[in-house]
Amino acid sequence: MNVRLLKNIMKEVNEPNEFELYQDSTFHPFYWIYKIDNVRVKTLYSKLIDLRKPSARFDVFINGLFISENDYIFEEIGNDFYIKFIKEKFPEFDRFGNPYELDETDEVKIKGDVEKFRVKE
Amino acid sequence: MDKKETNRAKQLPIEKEFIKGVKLIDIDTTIAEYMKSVIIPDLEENSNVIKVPLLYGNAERWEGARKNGYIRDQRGRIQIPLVMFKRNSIERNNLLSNFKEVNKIATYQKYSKKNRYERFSLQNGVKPVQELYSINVPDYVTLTYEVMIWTSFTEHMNKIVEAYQFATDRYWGKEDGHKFKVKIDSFDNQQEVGEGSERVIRTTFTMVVNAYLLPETYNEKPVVQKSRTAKKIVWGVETDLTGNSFITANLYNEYATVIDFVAIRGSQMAVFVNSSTVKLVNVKKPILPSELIGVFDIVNWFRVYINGDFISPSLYTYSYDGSQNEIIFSFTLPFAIDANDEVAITGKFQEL
Repeated sequence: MNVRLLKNIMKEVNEPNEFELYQDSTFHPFYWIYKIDNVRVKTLYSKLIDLRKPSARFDVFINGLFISENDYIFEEIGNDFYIKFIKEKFPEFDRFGNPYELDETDEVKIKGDVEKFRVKE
Repeated sequence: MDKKETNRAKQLPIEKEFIKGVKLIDIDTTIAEYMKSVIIPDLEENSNVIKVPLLYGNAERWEGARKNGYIRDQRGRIQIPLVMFKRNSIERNNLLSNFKEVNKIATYQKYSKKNRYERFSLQNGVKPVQELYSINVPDYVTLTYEVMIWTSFTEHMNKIVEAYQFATDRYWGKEDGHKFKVKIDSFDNQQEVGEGSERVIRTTFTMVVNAYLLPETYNEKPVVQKSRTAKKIVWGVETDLTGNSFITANLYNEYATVIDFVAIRGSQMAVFVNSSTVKLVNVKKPILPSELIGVFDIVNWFRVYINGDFISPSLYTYSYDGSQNEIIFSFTLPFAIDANDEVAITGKFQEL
């Protein structure tokens, strides 16, 4: 192992990034789907996998509120990163008594071991 | 593929005699010298001992001998007695083909100049150095030689042929040189007495020689490589408290405690204990490595969210129970925690 690999490990575990996702689909019956292009979860040095479980790789926030990992699923399809919020895990009504809904005005962010990558044309 | 050896430590001088290879000229010379010194007997004529000369039949000589049945010397005299030979063909020996690229023939020499000034009886655990040679597998070939013998008398011819016959199926060569197996199947005898010419007894036969060829270098590397055995093996004493030292030494092992600490991150929903206490179960709280004291932000060791809202570290204390693998958080909040509240905690703890 050389210094370069050590640097890569530090980049993997000690340089968190933050990205905002935009709404992809509101019409899905079970999920509110948000996505971001050309973002992926960073690789992790094999010896460190047990120290940082997949659920601890990044945090998800909606309007600044921490969202439990039980309330969403995430997928990486092609070059896109998707967060699918499970509708049934969220309250039926918001604090004003309106049906709870996520839309394009809600700020959905991910923060952690994620990185943007460049796609060669 | 690296063509040249770049490791200077492995570049040991090799005596020239070990690297000269085996060439066709070596085989010809070996066969010729053996015939000359061992096989061809001295003849006796009129109480005089006659040495039978041996000649290599180059194209001109051989052609002349074939055409005339004999060869003449520079003064025009027929050269009798005489043995002449020439190489006819070289054929690859398929029966002994081998993996030449990967196989090496290993051999060693007990004597080494390195041992000259050592007194092994007085030195503890020091063994004499042996010189190891690894040699590429040679190319095995079958050579055929044609031999012609001329004598004046049948008695002389018999003596020579008998000597050749006895030498068949033997390894021809010097004690400390190359040796090749030679086989002679049959001898063809002819007597020629022409009008006005000398009486000539002639015998021709073919020798089949099993030999091998080895170049001095192949692909710019010597085919013979030299190394030395270890004189002494010294075991050092090393104490490893982590148990990781026997994994290949690398930067990760050297800085494992720091790297592991930095890499540790957990995210878990806390278990409700009471209105002011929650706990993380089945977790381990790492110890801050001494290298990171003063650098790592211990105030934000954990990030606590109750129903999504971030809770300031000043509003809770925590304690770690290593025996139960639990971290207990005690809050001083303006509200009571409910069993239905979602308390999510992220930070420096390892999920077991």
